[in-house]
Amino acid sequence: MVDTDNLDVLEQAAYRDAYSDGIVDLFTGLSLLWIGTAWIWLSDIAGMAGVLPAVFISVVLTGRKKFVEDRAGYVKWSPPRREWEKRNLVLLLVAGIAMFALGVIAYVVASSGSDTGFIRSIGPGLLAFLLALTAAGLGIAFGARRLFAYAAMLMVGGIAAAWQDTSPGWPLLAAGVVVAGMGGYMLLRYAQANPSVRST
Amino acid sequence: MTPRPREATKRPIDLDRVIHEPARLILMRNLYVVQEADFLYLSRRTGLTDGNISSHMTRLENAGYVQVSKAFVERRPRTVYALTAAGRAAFDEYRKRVDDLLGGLD
Repeated sequence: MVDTDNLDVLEQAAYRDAYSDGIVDLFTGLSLLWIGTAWIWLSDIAGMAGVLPAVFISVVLTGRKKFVEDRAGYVKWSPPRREWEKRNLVLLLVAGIAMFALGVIAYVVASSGSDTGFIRSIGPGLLAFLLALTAAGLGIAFGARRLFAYAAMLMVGGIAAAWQDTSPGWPLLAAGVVVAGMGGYMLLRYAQANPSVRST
Repeated sequence: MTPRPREATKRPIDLDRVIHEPARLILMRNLYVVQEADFLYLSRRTGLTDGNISSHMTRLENAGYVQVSKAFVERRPRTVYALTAAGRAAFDEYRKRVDDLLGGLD
C-alpha cells in the first residue's frame, strides 16, 4: 500500500485515473475513421457522416459509465471539481460552436469565390485544423497531454492534405487509426488492471 | 540522575486515535477529496482488503466521521461512504495537529 501524495495530488490522480479507460479515445478514433472513410469513398454521404457519431455518443457514454463503475467503483467528485467540470464543458460547447461557425464561414467564402485563394488552398486541411484546435483546447481544459499529440497529428495531417490538395478525409483517417489504436490500448490496459467485480 | 526528556514531562501527543491508524487515515484521505465513493472505489484506490475496509469503516462510522448508505443499483448492492461534517472537521483538526507537531526546522 503506497499512499504518499498530498491531498491535491491524490485528488488529481484519482480524477485522471477515472478517465484512463480509453473508451472516449476509442470512440473518437472510430468516428474519425468513419468520417474520413465517408469523405474519401462515400462522397454522397460525406456531409452527413458526422451524424452517426453524434447519435451514438450518449449510448457510448452511458455504457462507459457502467463499464468503469463495474471495475473501478462509483465516485462522486467534490463540489469544486464538479464546478470545474461544468465550466470546462460550457467552454467546450462554446469552442465547438465557434469551430463549426468558422468551418461554415470558410465553406461559404470558398464557395462564393470571393476569397483570395488562401481558404481554398487550405480547404483540404481545414477540417483537420479545426479538429486539432478542438483537441488542443480539450487538452488544456482537462489537462490530458495525449490530446496535444492528437492535435499535433491532425495539424500535420491537415498541412499535408492542403499541400497535396487531397481529400480532407485522409488526415481524419490517419488520425483515426492512431487515436482508435491508442484508445484500444488504454482500454486493454485498464481492463487488465481493473477486472470487473462480476467476474471475480 | 539522568534528566527526563523534556517531552515526557508534558502531556502526551494528542492526535485523534481514530484517524491516526494508518489504514483509517488512508480511507479518510481518499474520502476527504471526494464527496462520496463506494466500497469498490475505496478498495481500488487504497489497496486495502475488503475485510480491512469493512472493519475500519465501522470504526469511523461509530465515531461519527463517516456516513454509510446502502442501495441497490441494477439489482446489485452498493455501499456508499461519505465523510460527515464532523469527519471533515476532525480530519482538518488532525492535519493541523500533525503540521503543528511535525512542521518547522526546514
